[in-house]
Amino acid sequence: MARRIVSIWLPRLATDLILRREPVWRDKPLALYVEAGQRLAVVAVNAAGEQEGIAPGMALADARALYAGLGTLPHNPARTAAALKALTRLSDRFTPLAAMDGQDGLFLDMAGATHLFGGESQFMARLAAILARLGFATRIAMADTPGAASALARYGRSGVIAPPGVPRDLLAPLPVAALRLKPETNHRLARLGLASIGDLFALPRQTLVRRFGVEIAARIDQALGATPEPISPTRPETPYTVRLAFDEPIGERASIDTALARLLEKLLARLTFEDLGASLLVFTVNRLDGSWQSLSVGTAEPTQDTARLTRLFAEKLDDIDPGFGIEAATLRAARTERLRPRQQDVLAGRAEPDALAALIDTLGNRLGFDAVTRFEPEDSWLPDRSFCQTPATIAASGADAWPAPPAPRPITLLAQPLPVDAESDTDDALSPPRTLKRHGARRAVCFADGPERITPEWRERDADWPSHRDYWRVEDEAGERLWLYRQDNRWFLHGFFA
Amino acid sequence: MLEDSTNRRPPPYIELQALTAFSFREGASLPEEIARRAAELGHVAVAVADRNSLAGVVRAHMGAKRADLRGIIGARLDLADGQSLLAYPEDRAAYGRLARLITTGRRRAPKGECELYPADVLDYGDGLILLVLAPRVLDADFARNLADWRAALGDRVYLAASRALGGDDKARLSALAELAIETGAPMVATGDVLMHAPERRVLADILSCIRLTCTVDELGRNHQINGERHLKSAAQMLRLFEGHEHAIHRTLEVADRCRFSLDELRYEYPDEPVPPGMSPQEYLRQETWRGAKQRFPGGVPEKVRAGIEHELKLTDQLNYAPYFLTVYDIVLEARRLGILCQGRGSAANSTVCYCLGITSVNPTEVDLLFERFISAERGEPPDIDIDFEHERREEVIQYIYKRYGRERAGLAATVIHYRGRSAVREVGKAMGLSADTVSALASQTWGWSSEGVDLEQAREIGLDPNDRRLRLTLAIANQLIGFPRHLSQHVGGFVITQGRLDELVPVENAAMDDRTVVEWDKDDLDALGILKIDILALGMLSALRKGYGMIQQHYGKRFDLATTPREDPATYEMLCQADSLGVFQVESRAQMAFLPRMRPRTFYDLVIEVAIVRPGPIQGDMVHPYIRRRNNEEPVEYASPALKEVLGRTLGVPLFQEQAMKIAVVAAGFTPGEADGLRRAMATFRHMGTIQSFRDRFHAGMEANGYDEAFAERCFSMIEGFGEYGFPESHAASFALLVYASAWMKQHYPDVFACALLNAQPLGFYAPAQIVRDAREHGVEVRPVDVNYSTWDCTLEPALSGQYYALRLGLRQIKGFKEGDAEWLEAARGNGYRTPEDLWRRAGIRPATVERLAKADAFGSIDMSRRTALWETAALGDAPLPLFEAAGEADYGWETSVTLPTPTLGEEVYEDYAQLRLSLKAHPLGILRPGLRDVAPNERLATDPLDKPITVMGLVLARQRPGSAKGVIFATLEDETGVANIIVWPKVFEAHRRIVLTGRLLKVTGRLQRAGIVIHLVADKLEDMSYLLDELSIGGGFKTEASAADEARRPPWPDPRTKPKHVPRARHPREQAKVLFPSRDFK
Repeated sequence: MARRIVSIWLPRLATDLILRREPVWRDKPLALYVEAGQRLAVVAVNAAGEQEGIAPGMALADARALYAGLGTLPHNPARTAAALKALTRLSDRFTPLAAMDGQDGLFLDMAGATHLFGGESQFMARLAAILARLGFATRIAMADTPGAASALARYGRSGVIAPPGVPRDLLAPLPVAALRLKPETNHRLARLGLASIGDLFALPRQTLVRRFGVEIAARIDQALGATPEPISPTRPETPYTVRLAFDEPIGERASIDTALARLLEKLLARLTFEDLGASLLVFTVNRLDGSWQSLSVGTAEPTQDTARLTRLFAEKLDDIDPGFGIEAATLRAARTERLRPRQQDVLAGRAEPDALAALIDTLGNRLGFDAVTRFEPEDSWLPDRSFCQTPATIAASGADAWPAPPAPRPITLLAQPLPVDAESDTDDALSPPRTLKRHGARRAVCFADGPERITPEWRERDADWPSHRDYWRVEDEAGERLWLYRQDNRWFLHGFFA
Repeated sequence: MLEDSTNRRPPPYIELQALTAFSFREGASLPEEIARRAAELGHVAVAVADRNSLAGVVRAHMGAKRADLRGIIGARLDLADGQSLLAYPEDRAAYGRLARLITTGRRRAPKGECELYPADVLDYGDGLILLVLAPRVLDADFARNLADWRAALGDRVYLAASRALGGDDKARLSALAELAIETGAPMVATGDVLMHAPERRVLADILSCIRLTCTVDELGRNHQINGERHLKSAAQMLRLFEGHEHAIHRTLEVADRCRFSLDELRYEYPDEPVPPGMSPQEYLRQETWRGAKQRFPGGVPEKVRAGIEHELKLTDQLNYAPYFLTVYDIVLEARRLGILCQGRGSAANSTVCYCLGITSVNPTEVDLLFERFISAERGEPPDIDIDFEHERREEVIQYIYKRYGRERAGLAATVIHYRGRSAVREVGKAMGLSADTVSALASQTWGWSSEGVDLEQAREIGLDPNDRRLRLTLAIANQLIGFPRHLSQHVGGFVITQGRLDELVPVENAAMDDRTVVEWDKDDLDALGILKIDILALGMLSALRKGYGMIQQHYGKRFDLATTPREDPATYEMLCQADSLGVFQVESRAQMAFLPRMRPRTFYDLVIEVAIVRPGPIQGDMVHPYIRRRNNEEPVEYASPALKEVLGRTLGVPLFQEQAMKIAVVAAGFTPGEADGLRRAMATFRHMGTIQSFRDRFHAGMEANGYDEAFAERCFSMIEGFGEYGFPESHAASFALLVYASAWMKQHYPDVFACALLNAQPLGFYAPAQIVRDAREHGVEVRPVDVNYSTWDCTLEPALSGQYYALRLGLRQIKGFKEGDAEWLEAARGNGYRTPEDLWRRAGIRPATVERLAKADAFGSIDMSRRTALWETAALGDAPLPLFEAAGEADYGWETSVTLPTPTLGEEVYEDYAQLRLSLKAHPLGILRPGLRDVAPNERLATDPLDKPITVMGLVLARQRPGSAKGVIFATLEDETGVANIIVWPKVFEAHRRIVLTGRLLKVTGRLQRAGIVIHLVADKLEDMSYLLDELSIGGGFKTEASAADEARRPPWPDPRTKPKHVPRARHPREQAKVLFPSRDFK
C-alpha cells in the first residue's frame, strides 16, 4: 500500500517551548543563543523578535542593538530534543508510525488511518488545530514520500495535501534547498542559476551526478518515491522499574523483606548488565484498597551493591503500613549513573565500600543528604571565603586541593568575628595589641606576630569587608592563642589556634 | 654628598626592586610614574629593573631626569632554574655585558621570551651588582644558591629582603638576616614594587587576568592579597624594617656603587662605506661632486655649487659625513637592485643629498635651508628616512643585515600601547563580560583612538550604565590606555653601530623570520641621540616604478623621478579640478575638497598642500587664514618682524613643524633644545602631564614678547597637533615630488597609471573598483579578466580606438588566485585555451582553481558564460587521466549540452563582486535604481536646489572621523553616477551610530552645501539598506527573464503575514554584502 506521509515542521520549536511556560514572551521579542567560538549567536527567535528584524545566525550583540529590550536566554538543545520526542509519543494517538525528522520536525505515516479522522483534509485541519492549541507554530504537508512532504511543509503552502502519486509538479517550483541537500551543494546550484527543483528535473540525470555526486539523484528519487526512504518510528524507552504482583496479599515484614530482595535482585541484574549504578531507589507498595505508599533511599554514589541497599532499606521498611494487604510492589531506580570503574584489590578479595561512604549513606538517609556536608577549598585570600560547605555526596577534591596559606591559619574560625576590646600603643597598623579583654578580665599579650594585611577583592561591593583587615597571631598571658584583626581601628576576634 | 646648612640628611632609602609596565601584563605603573612618585616621596634616586628586559630603562632614565633624580637602571633576571636576581651595572662596560646577557637569553628563545642560566650570569657578570631575591619558602637550596653566588662574585652579591605585610614577616626577616650573616651576602631592603601608588592594585589585578587569560572571578589567589607592593617613603620603610635598619641604609651603598648612567652611551657611526685610505669627509666630497656633474650635465649652476660647498663645510664641522655615506651606501645598493627609492626627513632635501641621489627634489626648485634641519646647537643627528618600493624593501633590509651583521644592525622596536579598543577588549574580557558585549563595546571606539568608551555609548548599545561591572570596566580601561602592551618591530627604523649593537641595547628575535629587533623604540633612541635610518615601504614608489616601465615599453619614452617633466600646467589644472583619485597623498576626501580652493600652480604649492591638510594646521586653525591670504582676501601681515623671517614663505601662517618650533624660539623665548623637548613631549609623553607647564611657559614667553593671547593659543594648539602628526617642510617636499610625479602620470598616461596602481595593490585610499571606474571615466577601455589574455598583473593592450591603450585586468584581481597558478596558466597558453578542461589538462591547474576562473567569468574570449563555464568545470575530476588525454569523454560518453537559466544582471554583478571586488558590467546601484523611489542619483547633487532636502543612496567607500574635526564623521558614498560626500554631525551620528559605523549601502537624506566644485550633503537621516545588496544575488534588480522559479527563490518563511519592520525580506545564506562591498574606514 502506498504511504501517506505527513511532515510536521516546527520552525519555532525552541522559543515556543519557552512561550508555553512563560507566556510573557508572547508579545516581547525573545532570542535564544548559543556560544559559537568567540561570539554568542542567535539560534532561535520568537515571532515578536522576528518582527524586529532579529533572525537566527545573527550575533547576539547585533540582535541587541536592533532591539534594546530583547529578552535573551541560552538555548537548551537537550530540552528541545526531549520536547520533540514527547511530541512523537503524542502522535501515537494517530499512528504508530511516527518519527523525528531532524531537530525540528516529525514524520507521521498516516497510510490507511486518515479515514478514522474523517478523511485527509479533516485530519490535517485537526492536526494543525491540536498543535496550535499546544502553542506551536507549525507548517504541515502530506505526500506519498517523506522527501516530498518535508519539502512541501518547509517551502510550500502550509496544509498542502499532495494527491496520491508522484508529486512531480508540486515539487518543481520549490527551491532546490527543499531537497535537503548539503548547504555546499545548494550554493553551487544557485551559482549555476539552478534555483528550483524543476530546473533539476530538466537536466539529464548523469550530468548532475557527475557534478554533484549521487546525493542529488538520491534525494530527488526519494522525494519522487523512486527509491524508498524508511522512517524509523521511535520506541518509548522503558524506565528502570521492576514489578512484583502477589497471588495472595502480603503484610508480614518478612514477606515484604523477601519481596524487596527479589525486586532488588531483578533490578540490579538489569543495571549490572547495562553497567549502571543506582543512587536513588523508590520502593512502592500497592494496597488492596487501591492506595499506595512509597519510600526511597539514596546513596552517596551510584552503587550495585545489594547488601548496602538492603541495609539502607531495612531502616525504613518499618514505616510501611500494609493496611488490608499489599497486592503488588514495584522498585524503580529513579536516578542512575554510569558506574565509575573502581580499582579492586585482588589480594584482599572483594572491595568493601569505604567506611566514610557508608557513614554518609546512613546519615544521609536519616537526616537527608543535604544535611550532610563537608568542607571544600575556595580560591580566595579572604579567610572566611577560602572554603565552602558542599553536600558530602559530591566527591571530595582531596587534600592536595588545599593550598598552603600565606601565613598560619587558626584551627577554629568563627563564623562571625567577635568585637574584642584590645589596645595597642598607637593606631599605627604595625603596632601590635598589648592587652585584650577576655571573659571580663584584661590580659596582657605576650606574643604577637603580624600584621597580615588582607584587602577585600574589589570586583563586588562587600558589606563584610568594607576595608582591609590587619590580622595578628596573638598569645595572651593566659596562654590562649588567638587570631585577631584590626579593621578601621577596631579589634575583632576571628579564630583560635590550638 | 654635600649637606645643606640645616644639616638635613638625605632620606636614607632608595627603592631597588621596582617592576614597571615594561614587565608586560604585570607592572602596573609606567616608568615615569615611578620616577615622579619617588621624587614626591623624597628619594634621591630611582632604580627600575624589569623582567629580563631593558625596554623601559630609557623612559625611566628620562623620567628620573625630569624629576631631578638619579636614574639607576638594571634588569631583573629570571633564570630558567627558577632563581631571580636584580642586576645593576656599576659602569658602562658592565652595562654592555648586561645588554649582551639579555641578548643571549632572548636570541635563544622565541619572541618575547628569554632563556637564561646561572652560567650565563657568571659569563657576563663582571661589574654587575646582584641582589638575590628570596623565594617564598626559604629552603636549603636557596641558602646554597646564595652562598654559590657569593663565592663566585664576591662582594657584589647582596640578599634582597622585602616586607609586604604577609603575616609572618618578623620570622622571615630574621631568617633572611641570619642567612645574610651565614653567607656573607649583606641584606638589602626592597619594596618589591609593582605599582607607584596603592590605588593601582585594581589595575594590577586586571593585568594578572590578562596575563593568565582568566576573569577576575577566576583570579582567586592570584589577586593581590593587599595593595602593599607600592613605592614607600624612607620613613615607612624604616618602620617596616624595624630592627633591620642596616638593610635600609644599605640601599644607599648599593646605589652608590651603581654609577652607570644612560647618558654615558656614546653613539658611533659605522665606517664601512668609506674606501680605505680616505677620510669620510674626503669620500663624501668626491661622491657629491661626481653626482653633481651627473645631475647637472650642462654644468653645475653657481647656486648649487655654493650650496654644496656650504653644506659640506657644515657636515665637516659636525662630523656627519659617515652618516650621509651610510645612507648613500644603502641607496646605491637599491639602485643596483633596480629598486626605486626616495629620501625624506630633515637632512634629505639638501643639495648634497640631491647630488648623491638620495632625493630627487631639485634644490634649485625648492629653497630649503640646510641649517634649518641640522642644528649645530642641538647636536643631535640629522634625520633621513628612505622610502622604497613596498614589494622590494625586504631585499634592502637583508642587505643591511648582511653588510653590518646582526651584532651591529637591528630594527628599532615599536612599543604597542593599549588603545581605546584594545583596552576595552582586554579589560572587558578580564571583567567577565560576555564576548558579544565586549565586541559591542569595542566597536564603539574608533580604530586607533586613544579615547575610551563612555557610559552614554554603552547605554546606546543596550547595556545598563548603572551596572557596577560595566562602570568598573570602562574606568579601568581608561586607566590602561597608554600602557605598553608588547614590543613589536618598527616598520623600518634601523639602528646601525660601529661597535657591537648588543652592548648598547639588548637585541631580540622579531616575530618575522630573519629579523632582529632592539628593545628600544624610536623615542628612546632619539632621547639618547642614537642614529636610526628609516627603511620604509611605500606602495606609490612601486606603482611609479611600474608605471615608468610601462611608459617606456608602450610609449617608448624614458622617465624617472628626477626627469619627469617639471611644472606641467596640465597636471596642475587636473589637480585644481580635484581629479586626483589614485594620486599620492592628495586623494583623500579632505584633500579633494581642498585642492580646488588651494589651486596649486607650482611645486611649492604642492609642498604646502601636503602639509596643510594635516591635524597640526587644522587644529591650529591655520588653513583658512592661509587660503584667504593666498586668494588676496585678507592682507598678509606678520605679528612681528622676527616672525616675518620665519613665516615669510607661507604668507605669515605657520604650516610646517619647523615653523612651529621656530616660533617657540623666536617668539616665546625657548632655546632650540627646549623647543625640541616641547615637540617630543607632545609626541611621546602626552599623558604625562608635562604639557601644562610647557603651555604656561609658551604663553608667558609670547606675552613677554608682545604677542596677543589668541595668536599664542593658536600656535600652541598647532604644536600640539604637530606632536602626533608632525609634518616638517622637508618631508612635505619629498612627498610633494611623489604627488607631482603620480599626478603627471595620471594626467598624461591614465592607462599606465591605473594599470600601475592595480599592480601595486594594496595601496592608497581607493579599492580597485574605484581605480577602474576612474580610468574608464578618463577614456581608458578596461577589459575583463580572461584566461586567454590575462597575466598575473594587469596589462596594457592595443585599443581599437582612443588615444590610450586598453587595460586588461590581471588574474591578481581574482580573489584567492595564486601567482604560481597564473604562471602555469601563462606558460601553457600557447595558441589559447578552448575549454575549461584545456586549462586543467594543459596547465595542470587544479579544478578548484579552474572554478575560480569560471566564477570570475574569465572565459569570455571563448564565448562561454560564467554559468556554462562553471557547469563545465564542475565536471572535471581530481587529476587529468593521461590515458584518456585525447578523449576526455571516455568515462562519461558525450554529454548532451544543457541550457542553464540566464542570470539577471544583478546576479552577474553580484558574482563579479564576489570574485573580483568589482564589475565591468554595471554598478550595483544602477541595477537597484529602477526599484528606488525618492532616491536621487549622486550626479544631481551638483545641480539640485540647495533649499530642499535630497535623498541619495550609495555604497560606502570610506568613513573617516578626523581627530581634528570634533566628532564629525565623513562618509563617501558611490553610486553609478558618482560619489556623494556625506557629513554626519555628532548629534545625527549619535542617533544613527550603528548604521553609520557598519552600513555598507546607506540611504542618506540631508541638506546640500556647495562651494565651487566642492559639494557636501549634511545628513539628517540615515538608513542601512545593505540587505538590498544580498538581494541582488537572488534575482533582484532587473530580471532578464521572468521564470516561475523566481517565486521559489524566496522561501515563504518567515510567515509573510508577519512582515518584519526594517529588515531584509530574504536572507541569502551567503550573506556576503559585508565582505563583498567593503569600505575603507577610520583612516
